[in-house]
Amino acid sequence: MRLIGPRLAQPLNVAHGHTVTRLGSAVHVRGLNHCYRSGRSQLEALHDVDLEIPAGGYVALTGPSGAGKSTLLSLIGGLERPQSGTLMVGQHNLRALRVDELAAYRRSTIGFIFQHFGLLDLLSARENIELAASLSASVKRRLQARDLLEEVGLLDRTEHRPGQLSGGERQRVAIARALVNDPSLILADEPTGNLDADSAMRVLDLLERVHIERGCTLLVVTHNESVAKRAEQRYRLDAGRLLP
Amino acid sequence: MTWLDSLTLASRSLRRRPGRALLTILAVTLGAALLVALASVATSAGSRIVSKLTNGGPATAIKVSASKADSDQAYTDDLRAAGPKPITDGTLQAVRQSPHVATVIPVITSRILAVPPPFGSTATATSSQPAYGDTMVGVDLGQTSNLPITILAGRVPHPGALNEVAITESYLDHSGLSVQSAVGTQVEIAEPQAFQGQGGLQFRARWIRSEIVGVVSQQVGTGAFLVSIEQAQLAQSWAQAGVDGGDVLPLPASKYSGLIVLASSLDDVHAVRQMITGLGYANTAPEHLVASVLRYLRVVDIVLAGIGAIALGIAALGVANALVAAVRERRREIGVLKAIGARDRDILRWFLLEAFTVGLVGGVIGTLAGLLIALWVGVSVNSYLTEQGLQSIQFGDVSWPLIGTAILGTTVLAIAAGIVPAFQAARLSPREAVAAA
Repeated sequence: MRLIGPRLAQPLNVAHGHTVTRLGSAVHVRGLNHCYRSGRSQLEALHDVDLEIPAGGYVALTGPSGAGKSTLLSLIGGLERPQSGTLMVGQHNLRALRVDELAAYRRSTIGFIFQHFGLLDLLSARENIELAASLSASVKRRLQARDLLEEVGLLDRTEHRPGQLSGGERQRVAIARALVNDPSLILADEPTGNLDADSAMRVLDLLERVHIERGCTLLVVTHNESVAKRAEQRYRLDAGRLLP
Repeated sequence: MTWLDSLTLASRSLRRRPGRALLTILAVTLGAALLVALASVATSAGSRIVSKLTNGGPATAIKVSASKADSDQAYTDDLRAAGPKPITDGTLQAVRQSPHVATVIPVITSRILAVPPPFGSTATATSSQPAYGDTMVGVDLGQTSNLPITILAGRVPHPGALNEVAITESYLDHSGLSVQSAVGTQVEIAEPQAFQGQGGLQFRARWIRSEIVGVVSQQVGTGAFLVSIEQAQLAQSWAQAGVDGGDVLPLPASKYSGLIVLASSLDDVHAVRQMITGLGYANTAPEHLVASVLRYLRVVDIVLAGIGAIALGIAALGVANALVAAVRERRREIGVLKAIGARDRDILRWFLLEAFTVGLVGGVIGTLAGLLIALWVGVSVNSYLTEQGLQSIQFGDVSWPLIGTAILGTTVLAIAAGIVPAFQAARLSPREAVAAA
């Protein structure tokens, strides 16, 4: 197995006695195929995809709707298991991980950011972040939440529910939540899709600052060419095929 | 995710849909209330029926007579006596040694002459209320609850009291007093003794004036006066200090005129009766009658439990339906939680705690409501019984086992109803759940 990138091998203890090794966030994809069944028909979402993302890289993935961007993101994020091909994220062969191991992988390695923010309306900004921290059994969850909210400039919004925040503020809370378990790979699915231009720029600035300061690998899926242009590397997916 | 996080999510999820949560809790409340009310009323009514059959005493009480048992005694509830047989302290010991016996209460009866007020100077007729012969029944009045005694008015004499009596309705017939007016009046009682005077057999009496402290219906022994066993012992000792008065006043042949034996349980009554019959004593207990009635009451219980179970079943369906709807609504949240690393069991716990909360809240409110309904039924029934001149029934006793079982049962049922939707939620594919946004 070839590991790419400098951030390697800091073991983290996770549930069930499994050890998920802290990785340098290198993503190594070879011959990845993925299909979805719809009744009797079969839809090929990804076809023979090869992709290398170096640890600490900043990659944008573009393409039309239905091209397979979200599928690739969910496979890299461990939301589902690849059907064929090789998918390595750091030391993790995602095809080999069991259900609980995938959950541990998502908890400790991945920070998800969604277009719809993905915050729980039931909880305040602080509680949303604390909940993510508690999944990793963090004992300093309150302090962590406070520091992160300060980092994203929302210390005065800690007790606000998502419904009381603007779109940009919600996405910043989501970024803070994604960072709470110190992930090495941040997957952002249309992070600016629901934001006005000004908020979008502020969110991107924040993501890029986090990427630089924390050394996280950043993979952004977007329709927006101006967002994609800010990445170090750009890939395009079309009909399940990855184009340079 | 901690339990507190799961509980927070569960309670806030319920508050997010207050209408649906309220209706679901209401369904559980109604089910629990119906079950508790039916069980409470059935228990009260059942115990009242059994109590009536056993004349106010416990259903396990066996009356032992100071007489020989005949050969058919073992096969009948009735007393089958075949001549006198004294009950001694040895008899008491033998009965008490049986492992199936909970308590043995001796009974002493003594012949007396009673004079209702207004009192005259002699034991003969003084006015419209003549003196008359009767019997005083002495027992350990500290064990009234174990005896076939029903208090109609006032109370029973204090244990050891020598100047208090409770009377039965037989005395009321002689005295012309009513149940209420008799309490607080006095009665003169002559405890007779035969002696050999210069002119042959003569009689004299030890006179006491006692306060009537209550009116009772009792089946402890035949007699209109219920007194402490100490008072009856004094009367017996006084009589035995004299001579045999022949047919008019024979000396007591037995130290105890009877025993009330309490079996440890209804199932033990038959064994205890066999043991007593084996000792040679005639005895009586509504053993077969109670068993027969209990069988009918059991059928009633099953029917009522069935009605309550149907109500709870509907409530459980309500819980399941509400949670299925919640899972459908929260697919995105479930997906997001899984995406940030929640395990299946974290999601499972969230939904099961929601079901638990609904069950617990509904169970507590429903149980309280059920007890109030039972109390209201009791008040209504007693009001009717009182209007009809009948004795009221004791309703509304708080049965802690019933309360505990109802709350626990409702909560467990709600959790059981939530298992399928909770597993559906836990097993949702995170990819599909996130895509559902």
